[in-house]
Amino acid sequence: MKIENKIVILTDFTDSPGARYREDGDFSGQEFLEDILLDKFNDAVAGNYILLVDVDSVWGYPSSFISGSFGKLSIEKGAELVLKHLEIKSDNSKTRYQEIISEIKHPRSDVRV
Amino acid sequence: MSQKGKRRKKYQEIRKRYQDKRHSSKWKIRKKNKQIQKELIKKAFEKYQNAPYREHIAPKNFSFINNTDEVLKYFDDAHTIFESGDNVTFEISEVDEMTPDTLALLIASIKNPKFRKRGNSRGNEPEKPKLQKMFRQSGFNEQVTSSGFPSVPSNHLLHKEVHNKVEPRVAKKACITGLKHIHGVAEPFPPLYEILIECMSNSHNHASLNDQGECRWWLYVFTDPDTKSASYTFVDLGVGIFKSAYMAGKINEYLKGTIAVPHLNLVDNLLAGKIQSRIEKDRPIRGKGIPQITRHAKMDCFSEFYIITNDVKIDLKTGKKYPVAGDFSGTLLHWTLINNYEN
Repeated sequence: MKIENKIVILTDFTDSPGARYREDGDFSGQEFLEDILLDKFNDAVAGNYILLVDVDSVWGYPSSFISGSFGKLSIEKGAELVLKHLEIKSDNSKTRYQEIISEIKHPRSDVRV
Repeated sequence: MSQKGKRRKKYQEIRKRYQDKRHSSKWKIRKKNKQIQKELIKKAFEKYQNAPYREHIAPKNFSFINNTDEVLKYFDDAHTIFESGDNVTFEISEVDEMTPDTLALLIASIKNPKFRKRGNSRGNEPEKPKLQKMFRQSGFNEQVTSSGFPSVPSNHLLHKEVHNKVEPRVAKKACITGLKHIHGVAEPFPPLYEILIECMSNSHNHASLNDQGECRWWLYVFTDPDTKSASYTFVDLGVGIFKSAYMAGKINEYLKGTIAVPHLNLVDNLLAGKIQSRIEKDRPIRGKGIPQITRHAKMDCFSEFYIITNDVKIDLKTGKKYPVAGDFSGTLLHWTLINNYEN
């Protein structure tokens, strides 16, 4: 499968991602998921290609943003499908790459007390 | 019937409904209650207007982080004075030590109607030149109606959130303020930004037991010219982390905060993200914010990192936790960024 479309978060969304939900404030994970990521991801699945998401050069990715976007996508679509059609580009930080992949693989939190 | 006639008839119907409502007992009771409420507020204002100011002398070591119990008592006592119907003069001229976190707590308290009731406050500034400079540059005087105390332009940042929301732009600005001071340039430093957003998010979601976003938060960034460091204080005067935490099972929930299940014993689970959110929506995927803060706090670029909430003080650098004498109704996070960059 080839990469046929991409999202650059810095230019397509914001340089300062926010928290989880729209009601939390601007640039939330929900806003990113619903307004940008979901449609392009669905197109990638339908067209059987890979969507590249460039996560570099922004101020940071709060865990609630990652959970509210990539985590939610994984819960909705299933981790396997998401990992098949989504590629994360994070040249600036390996940790960030791992965090996003880990969120997709395990969107639910660990065992609680 | 002509159009004009129809419109007139409709108008009369609406008018009649309104008049009928106005004559109902429910309407009259509501009206009366509103009037009583207005009177009460007016009386409260008048009471404080004529009430004396009681001088309230701050502890010599006016540092919430370093002298938590005494400073907390100082604020509790101020609250008690307000409750008794008097006004408060915050006498801080003779303090020997004052840290930025205390300044943030002071302004957050004074501007909080629950703390102040409807009382009035006034105060002075530290006499020690270094502390006075910090006080004047903090932006404190711009937040209160002050006379005689000048505000000095500075590289600090004092932000009061009015929309009770997560503010990425403010987080970014706070990062730039600190990073520019330390490194001369401000390039993205994700750990700092992520901590700020998670603080705001926690405050927005958990500071109130009722609705999300009910509590206001304050952020103070102090750039220290002597040490080339930047300290960050984030404070909300909500209910505190432990009081807003949800414990599975009614017995656990009931015993939380008692001798049987003291808040101190819940710290490790809290930092590990094992304490559930009170908010039911998406509960299984929540709870990653504080673990992220805890992870970042361990980095060498943060020389100190504390959380004080309810009756617990946590040193995130060492993992040590301390009981606090008294109950701090709110959450304060304080950390210092130094020139030790890593990514």
